[in-house]
Amino acid sequence: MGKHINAKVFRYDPDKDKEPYYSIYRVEVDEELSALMLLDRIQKNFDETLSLRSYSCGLQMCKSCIMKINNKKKFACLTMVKPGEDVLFEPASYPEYHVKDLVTIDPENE
Amino acid sequence: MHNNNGDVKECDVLVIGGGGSGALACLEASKDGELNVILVSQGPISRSGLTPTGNGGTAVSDSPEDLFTMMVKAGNYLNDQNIVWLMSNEVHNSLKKLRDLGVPVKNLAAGSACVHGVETLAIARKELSRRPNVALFEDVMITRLIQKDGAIRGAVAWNLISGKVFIIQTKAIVLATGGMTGELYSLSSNNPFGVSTDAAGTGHVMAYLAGADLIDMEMIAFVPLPLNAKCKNIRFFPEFWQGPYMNRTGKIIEGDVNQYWGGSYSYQFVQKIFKELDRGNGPIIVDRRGKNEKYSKFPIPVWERRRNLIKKLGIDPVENKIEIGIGSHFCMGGIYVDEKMESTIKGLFAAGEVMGGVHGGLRLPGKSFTQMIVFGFEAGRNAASYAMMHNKISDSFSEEITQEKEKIYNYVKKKKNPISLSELKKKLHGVMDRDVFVFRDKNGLESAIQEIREIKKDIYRINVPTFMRFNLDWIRAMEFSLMIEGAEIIASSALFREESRGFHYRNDFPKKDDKNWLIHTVTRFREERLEHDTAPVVLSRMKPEV
Repeated sequence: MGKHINAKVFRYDPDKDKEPYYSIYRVEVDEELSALMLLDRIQKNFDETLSLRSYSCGLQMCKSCIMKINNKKKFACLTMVKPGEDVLFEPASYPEYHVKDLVTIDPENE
Repeated sequence: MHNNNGDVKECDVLVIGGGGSGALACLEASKDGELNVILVSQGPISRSGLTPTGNGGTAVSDSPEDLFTMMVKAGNYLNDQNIVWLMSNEVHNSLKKLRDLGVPVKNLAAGSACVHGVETLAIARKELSRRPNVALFEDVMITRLIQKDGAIRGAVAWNLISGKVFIIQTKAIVLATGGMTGELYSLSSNNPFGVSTDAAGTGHVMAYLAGADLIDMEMIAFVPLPLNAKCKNIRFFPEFWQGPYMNRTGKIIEGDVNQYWGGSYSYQFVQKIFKELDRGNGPIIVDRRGKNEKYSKFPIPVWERRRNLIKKLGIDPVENKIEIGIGSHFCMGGIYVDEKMESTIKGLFAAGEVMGGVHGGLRLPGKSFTQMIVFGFEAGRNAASYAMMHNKISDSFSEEITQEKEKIYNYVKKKKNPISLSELKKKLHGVMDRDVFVFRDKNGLESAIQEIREIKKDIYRINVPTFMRFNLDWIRAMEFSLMIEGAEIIASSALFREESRGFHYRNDFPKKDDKNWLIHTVTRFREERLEHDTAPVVLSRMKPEV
C-alpha cells in the first residue's frame, strides 16, 4: 500500500452549481505536511478549479487559512495531516459569508 | 459616495495595496474627513501580502544621525540621503501615531521597537471601516495605471470575486504594492511554506508601463533560507542565524557574521554561502546542537510564537541540523521618488518596499518596517495635499477599459495551442536562478534577457479554467503577465550597472566604482521599449571616503 492522503473537499460555485458537492482527491505524500500545503498542492497539480485562500503568514496569526478540518475550525497552515489519513475540508462558514469552495469573507472584514 | 455608473468609481485619493504602507497612507489621507479615499487590496487586509509575515522589528534609534549613518554606509552610499534623513527623523512621530491608534508598540533595547504586522493592520482596518469617506475594496486587483499628460488619472480594477473589470478615477494615487521578489526565483522568503503571498511586483511594473521611472532595480537582496520541506522558506530570527554554518566537510564557512552590515543578511555572507554551494561543497548546514544555550523567553509574543512554531514543526536548530539554501528576499530598488514620495508622474506617490532610494545597495534588518510606517503616513499626507490642490478632470477611459478587458478575458478563452502557467513559471525560475542571481556577468544577463523575451511571447497561450469567481489560475496568469516585465527590468538593470556594489555583483566588474557608478540606474518605458538612464544620488550629508 502506497502512502496516500484521501482529501474530501467541499465544492460550491454559486455562479454554476445548483448545490454543494464534494470532490475527492487521493494524494501521494511521503511524510506529514500542513493541510494548507496539501490543498495548495491539490489545486496546483490535480484540480485547478479548486478555490481556496492560498496564503500563509507563516505564523498562524492572520486567520486567512481558517477552515473546517474534520468538522473543527482550524488554522490550515499548521494543522498537520499524515499519510494514511482521511481528511474532510469544509469552508469556515456556509452559507453565510461564503464565496466559493473553501473561500469565505470574514464577517469582521465585511 | 463613490458612484456613478457601474463601470467607473470616483475618489480623490486611491491607495493601491492593503499592507502596512497602504493602510497607514489611507488613514492619513482620510483623517480630516474631507477627501474620499478608496483602498484597493488584492486580498483581505491583515490577511494578505508581506506585512503579516514579518517579524515586526523596527529601527528607532535615539539618534537620527546614528540610524542615518548606519543605513548610508550599509547601503554603499546609493541611498538618497534626503529620504533617509527624513525617515530617521520621522520614525518617532510615526510610532506615536501608531500608539495613538492603539497599535501595541513595544520598546526594545538598543534603539529598536517592535510593531507587529497583523496587529497593526487589523487595528487600521477597523478604524478605516468606521470612516464614511473611506471605501475598502478587498479581493480586487489593480491591473493598470492610467496617466495622461504627465499626471495620474486613474486605474483599471478587477474584482476577483465577480470577475468584473471597472475603472477607478482619481486625482492622486499612493502605490503601496510591496515587494517583487516572491515569484521570480524558485526559493523566496516571501512565500512561507512555499505558498504564494503575491509579492509579484505588479505595482512596480504598472508604474513603469504608465511611464514612471524606476531606480536601482538590479539591487535584489538574497538571504539564507531553510530547505527542509516542512519549514520551506520560513525565516527564523536573526538570533537563530548566528551559525555556525558548515559545508559538507564540516568546515565552518564564516566565523562571525556580525562583522558585516546586516549580519547573516549581508551580501558578503550570502556570497560566501553561494560560492561553497557552487564549488560542490554543499549541503550547507546550520547546526546549533549541543550548544547548551540557556533558554530565555523572547520579549515579543510573536517571536515566541515563531520559536514555538519552529519547535512544533521539528526544525529548531537547537535540536536539528537545518539545511540552508539561498532565496530572494527584498528589492532595494523601486519607484523613483522625491522627498514627497512623488514619482516622475504627477500625483503618483509611492510608499513602502515599492519605492526606491531608501536602502541603496543593502537593506538592514528592521529598516523596512520603518520605511513602511514612515513613508506610508508621509505618502498619504502628500497625496491628500495634492488632491486638495487639483481639480477633477473629466476623462473618458473607454479605450483603456476595452484594452484591459480584452487582455484579462483572453486567458479564459480556449486556446488552440495552450501552455501551462506552471511550465512558463518554471522556465522563468530557471533563467533567474541561473543568470540573475547572486553573481552575474554580461553573457549570463544577455542570455537571460533573450530567454525572458521568449517566455513573454508565450504568455497569451496560457489557458485557465473558465469560471469568474476566485479563479486562482486566472489571477496568477494576470500577475505573471506583469511580473515577467519585472524580470526583464531586473536583468537589464543588472547588465547596465557595470560595477559591483551591495547585493549587485558582476564577475566581470568585481570592484565598486564610485567614480563612474555612484549613481542610480534608471529604467523607463518609452515608445514601447525598455530604456536605461542614470540619475544622481542625493549625497547631501555624507560622502564616501575616497
